[in-house]
Amino acid sequence: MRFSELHLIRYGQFDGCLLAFPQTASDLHVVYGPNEAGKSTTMAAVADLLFGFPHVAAYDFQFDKLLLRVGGVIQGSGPPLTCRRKRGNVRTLLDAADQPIDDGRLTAFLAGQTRESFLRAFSLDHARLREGGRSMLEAKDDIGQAIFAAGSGLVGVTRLAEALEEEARAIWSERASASRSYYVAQKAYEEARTRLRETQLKSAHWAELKKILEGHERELEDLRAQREALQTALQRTERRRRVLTPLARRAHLLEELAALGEVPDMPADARAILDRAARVIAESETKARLAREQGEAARKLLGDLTYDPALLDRRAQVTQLRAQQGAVDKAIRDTPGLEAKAATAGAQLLRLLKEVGWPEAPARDVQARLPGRPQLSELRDLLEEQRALEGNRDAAMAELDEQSRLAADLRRQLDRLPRTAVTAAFSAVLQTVRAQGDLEAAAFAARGRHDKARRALDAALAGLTPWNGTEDELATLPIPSEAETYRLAETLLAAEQDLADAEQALIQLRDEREHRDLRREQLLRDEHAISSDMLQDARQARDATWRQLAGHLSGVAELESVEIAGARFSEELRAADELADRRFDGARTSAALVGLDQDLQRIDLALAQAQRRRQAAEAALGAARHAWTCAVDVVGGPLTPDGLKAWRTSLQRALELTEAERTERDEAARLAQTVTTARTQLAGVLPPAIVEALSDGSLTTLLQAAGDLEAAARELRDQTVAMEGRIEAAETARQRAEGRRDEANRRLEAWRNRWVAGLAAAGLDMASSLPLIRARLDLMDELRSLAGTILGYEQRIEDIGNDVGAFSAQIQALATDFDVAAQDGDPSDTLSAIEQRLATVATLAERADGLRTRVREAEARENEAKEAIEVANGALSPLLLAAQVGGRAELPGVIERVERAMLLKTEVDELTRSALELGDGLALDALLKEARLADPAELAAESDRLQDQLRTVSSEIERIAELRQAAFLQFKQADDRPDAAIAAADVAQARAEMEAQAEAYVRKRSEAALLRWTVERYRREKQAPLLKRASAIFAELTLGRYAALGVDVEDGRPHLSGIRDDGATAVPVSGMSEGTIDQLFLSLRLAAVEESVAGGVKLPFLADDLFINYDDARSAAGFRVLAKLAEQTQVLFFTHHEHLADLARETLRPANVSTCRLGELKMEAA
Amino acid sequence: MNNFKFLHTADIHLDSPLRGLSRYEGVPVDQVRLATRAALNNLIDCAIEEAVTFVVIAGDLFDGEWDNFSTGLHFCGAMRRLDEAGIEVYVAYGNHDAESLQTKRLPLPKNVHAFSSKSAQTFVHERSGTALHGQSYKSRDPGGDLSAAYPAALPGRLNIGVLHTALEGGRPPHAAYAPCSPAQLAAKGYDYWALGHVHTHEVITEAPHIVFPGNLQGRNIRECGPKGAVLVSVENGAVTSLEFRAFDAVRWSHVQINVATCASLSEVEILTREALETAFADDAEGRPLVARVTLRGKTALHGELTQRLSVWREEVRALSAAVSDQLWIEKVRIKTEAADQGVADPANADEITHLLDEGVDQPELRDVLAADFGLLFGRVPPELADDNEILGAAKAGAYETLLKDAAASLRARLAEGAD
Repeated sequence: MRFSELHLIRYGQFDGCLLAFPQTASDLHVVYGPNEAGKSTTMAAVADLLFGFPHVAAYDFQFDKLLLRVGGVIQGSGPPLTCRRKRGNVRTLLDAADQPIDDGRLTAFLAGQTRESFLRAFSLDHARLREGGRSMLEAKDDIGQAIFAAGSGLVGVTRLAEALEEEARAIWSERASASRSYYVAQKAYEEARTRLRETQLKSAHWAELKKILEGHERELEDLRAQREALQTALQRTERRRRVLTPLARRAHLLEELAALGEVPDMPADARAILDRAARVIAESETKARLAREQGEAARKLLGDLTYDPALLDRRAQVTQLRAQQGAVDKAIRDTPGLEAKAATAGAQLLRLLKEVGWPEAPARDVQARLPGRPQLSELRDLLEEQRALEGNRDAAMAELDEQSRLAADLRRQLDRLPRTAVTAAFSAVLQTVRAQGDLEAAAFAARGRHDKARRALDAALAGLTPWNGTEDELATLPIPSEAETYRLAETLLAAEQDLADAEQALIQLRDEREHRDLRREQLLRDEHAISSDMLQDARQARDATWRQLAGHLSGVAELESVEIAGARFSEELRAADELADRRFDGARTSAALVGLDQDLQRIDLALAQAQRRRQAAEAALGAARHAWTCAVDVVGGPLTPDGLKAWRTSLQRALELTEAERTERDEAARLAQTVTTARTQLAGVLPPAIVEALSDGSLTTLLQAAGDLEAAARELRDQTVAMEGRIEAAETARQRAEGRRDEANRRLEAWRNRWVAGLAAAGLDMASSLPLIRARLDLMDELRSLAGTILGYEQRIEDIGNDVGAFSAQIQALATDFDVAAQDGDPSDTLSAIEQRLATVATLAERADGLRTRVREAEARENEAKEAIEVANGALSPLLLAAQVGGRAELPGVIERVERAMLLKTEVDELTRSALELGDGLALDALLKEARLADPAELAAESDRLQDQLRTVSSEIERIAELRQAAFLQFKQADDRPDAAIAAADVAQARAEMEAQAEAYVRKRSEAALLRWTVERYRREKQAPLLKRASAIFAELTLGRYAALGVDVEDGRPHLSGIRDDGATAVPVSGMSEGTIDQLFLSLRLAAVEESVAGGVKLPFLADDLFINYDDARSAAGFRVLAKLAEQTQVLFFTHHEHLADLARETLRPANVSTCRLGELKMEAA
Repeated sequence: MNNFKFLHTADIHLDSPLRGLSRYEGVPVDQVRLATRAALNNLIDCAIEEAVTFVVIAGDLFDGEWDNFSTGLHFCGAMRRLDEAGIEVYVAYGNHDAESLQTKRLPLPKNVHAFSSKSAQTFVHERSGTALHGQSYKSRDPGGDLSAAYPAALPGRLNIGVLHTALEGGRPPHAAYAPCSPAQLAAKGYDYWALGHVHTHEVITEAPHIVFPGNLQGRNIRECGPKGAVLVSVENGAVTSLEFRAFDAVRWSHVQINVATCASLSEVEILTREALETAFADDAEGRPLVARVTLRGKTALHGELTQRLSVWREEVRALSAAVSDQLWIEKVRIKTEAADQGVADPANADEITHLLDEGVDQPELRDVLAADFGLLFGRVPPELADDNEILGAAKAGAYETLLKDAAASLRARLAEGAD
């Protein structure tokens, strides 16, 4: 419905005011008036006209509430409706003559809307727009819930994308960090490269170090030769001092040994042998006597014992009989019980025999007369089978009836279905268009992408400063290769490092020289060192004076005063000698001075070389800088290596964006053409009536109509096919039921034949009923069981009698063997007497065995003691023979003399060995000779002198050795050490790790980006139509600053956000400006209104100054959006800004918008 | 003329680092670092043990860009050992040596004879009656066939030509320096051509013997298998036998495993372990073995393997440690393909995984990756991408492979999450 006129007859401040809304191409009308002109009143009037006046009176401040009237001319289907509304409860809708009319037509226009829903959705001022917007964001209403539907289900995937991004960042990001694995590898790489630079060895450096080392080694060699000679002399002197004392003591002992005379040759342990033998003989004699006495006592006790050993062999038989005793006693106790059970079962058997009608008989005879078990079992099976067969037959007959009735019902339903179809051409076109996807959306997106690509390219070109040109020029720019610039940058870096190294070396050498200069000055000043130059100068002065004196004496030259010259010569001679003496007195200081002078020469040489190296490094750096400047000149200005890296990245980006922009431009054009073609094709195959009835000719609308038509045809076809299928199934089921019934009848007949044969075989009456036969079968089973039980009892009683008799006979036989009298009646008592007798015999046998063992042990001990006495006597025989004495008592005196002689010899040997050890390997004779000539005092003095000399030389060796060691260490470090090779290997390893990490980053980043894209695409595709349309409106209202709306998942809940024009940045609502929030809420509301209109609720949309936070450009966009809505339903836009009316006309062209001033027209004039 | 032996070697590239092996727990760092030195020592040991008369080195003692005098000193030390054993050495410098500063400055021991770089030169080894003809490179590229100017064979002697060349047509990836044909060399009338430059051992012809010994130590995964020199026996003035001797201290092997038959990761693990055991047993010959493991074949595990690549790298390293403490993993590569999934109903396929496939050729996704990788390649050394397929593809903007792998990996990871 739409208003062609609105009549504010008597309402608020209005009196006969008319607003006319002519039909234009777009049904948008801008109504403007100053503040207090009555915009809100007009909007309220519209609601009152459509839904009636509310109970609470309003807008009656000028006219009495009974006189209030608001009316209009309403267009819809059919003729226009001219009506007006008054206050009241019933019949408030009036015609132009104020007469009540039926409100049925007006109610139909409202399509079920209420005053509240109309105000919330179709009649908005700024406050209601905001309130409604908030409700949607919190998903409090249906619209909000529809918006967020697409956000669900992606929480886990979004988290995975975040996790992947985090994993990628943990490997690499633009910002270096020690926690990122790539930078860890890079650090190792750089450290290894630094080590590599530090450890590389230059040839000149190596040669210089070698020369210094060789000089020190020669000097050291000379000094060591001196030290060796001194050490040899000192060693000889010290040796002579060491051996003097031991050799004197040795001579004294040899004299005492000679005084002892001849001694027999006896072993060293002769005294120990003698003592041990005497102790053994005494102990063994005592042991032999004791053993003999113990043996005799045991033999006497053994002779007093008597018993029969054969009785012990019957022990096992007695034990077995005692074990059987319990079982025999129990069997005797059980016998009466068994006899009673047999009698009870016999009585029961008699009762059953009477019941069957058979004569009384023993159990064994009854068993023989009963029919066999197989015959009875077969009869029971036949009875069960008969029941099942009859059940099957009844079920089959019931199923047969049911399926016959169902098939007939379905055939009747099939006949009632209508017939319809669509053409093959229609289906083909529809399928082709659909196969191309959402073409309009794709075309829109392609346009957006092209715009975006163009903007990105312009930005990239601007970022290429200092270079300035177009993308076409960029493609042919002669950029140096990446490898070349990398090499140049590396060269520059290395040259800078080399220069720094050279300067550092120069500083170190200068420091070293200053240090040596200071030390030299200190030696001369404080320690009065005499340099060779000073000595040389003094000697030259002396020689010059001497030459003058000599010339005078030989008559070659005349001197003025021989005395003065002589005195000067004497003084110069003394001074030179004194200097020489002081120089040699302070030899150590002088040597240090010489060393310092040599060092200074070496340092001066090194300084000159270092100076040359620095000049070379400066030249190399200049060349490297020049090469770098030439290489980067093409980019139009100076750039550092890092700057060029960044520039090259920007260049690559710009080149890629150039290509991307071309691709997007072509794609946008292609898609636009595809949309046009698809629309034409669809319009051609749809029935003309449907095409004419469509609200617009867009591809989406055409597709929707075609889809509806296709769906209706498909549904009909599906129904027919389903029905036919059900009929066929019912018929098949009926035939199957018929077959089952016939089969059941055939089986019943066969059963009867087998039943008759079975009865005859069991001897049962064929005329008996089936229940009677079943009872007879049970009785016969019971009889068989009872007869078996009775026979079992009888057999058990007979077995017990036999077992008791055999047990008593065995006990009686044993009693005879053990000579025990049988007890009256009870075999158990007899058995106890036998057991007692057996125990007595066993005790006696055990005691006899013990006595025999004691006799054997005593005999063995006696023999052992006798043998020991013989062995001890044997050990003493050699000693007696060597000492040449008659008995054991004379041996101790001889042994004492022999021991003293051995002691003296041992000490002499010890002193000889000690002298030889101290004698530096000289023979004993030579040592004795040296000792005879030595004077201890002279030896001490000589030793002191030699040690003094040795200390002086050693001190000098120590000093030179330190210098040599320092030089050696330097040279060693510069030898064929593998340090540089190791560093290079470490560089390669670290580089491999960098490569591995970079690769891992590329993989993770690819995964993260793909998953992000997928999530966004999923959301776009699954976006609710409502959100999709709101996105488009929002993009237009924000002039493209936002590309779309999206639903993000955060904290496990979906949130609405705006997607910026870069297509990636999401801005939450909380981050938007007030104006943007207004645009967002209007977008959502308009999308909802469009959806309602499409659903048949075609009410006018009223807006009261909704653009209060908009600038002109956004207001113009707002009018374009409203004009689009106005193509579907009427839009009345109220404003107090007159320029907005002008803006609307400018934006939409006058043909598409009408404007009117509130209060401008009066009803009379209309 | 006596019966004697000589050793023919080339392409020692002393102190050139082994590339591609990242350091990880337990890697035999010292052996890897000094492998080329160890290989040279092995050669010297063999020369002394076999009592060879001389050693011929046909170029590339050092790496061109390598400027460290210690390397030269180590070479001199090795040559001195030969001198002490009375063994002469004949060296023709190659393209790498020509670029090396130390080649010019090194004080060579007296037993080492380097061929002139100005013109072809002949050394006569009187004791064995051998004439050795050769020419060193003056610069990286000598500019044409050097052998043409070699002198004619000396009559009555064993004639050996020493030349650094890739022969006519080249042998990629070796640059085609000093090109010449086997026929041209044969026409000189020499008995033996000791060539260098090509890093693979090859006997080009046997009459005369034209031989590449290959390099002395493999330095990366492209130089797999045994590396060493050729021991040549001469009897009565004629070459009677050639024997290749391996001197490498660390060996490289590329273990390729087809996992198409595997139904689970456990089976892949078993197969990998078996393959590593076989490789170590067959290839290592008592040396440390550095292996690259590449999985191939169509398999349903493709996504899972791709997704677990970094974990899998550690697992393979652990497997190698279980096989031997002398087996090391250079890289693990997943070159499998996704198995055919049969006929799936698109309407019922999971929409996310369907979109993953669709994303592979999306321009906007390529823009995102181009921006990201642009930053990356602005920061990393450019040559990092030279031998790495993944980085090469990322640098060149060939994202299809990357995204296909990413899609497979994500499918596996999403399926894992769904479990």
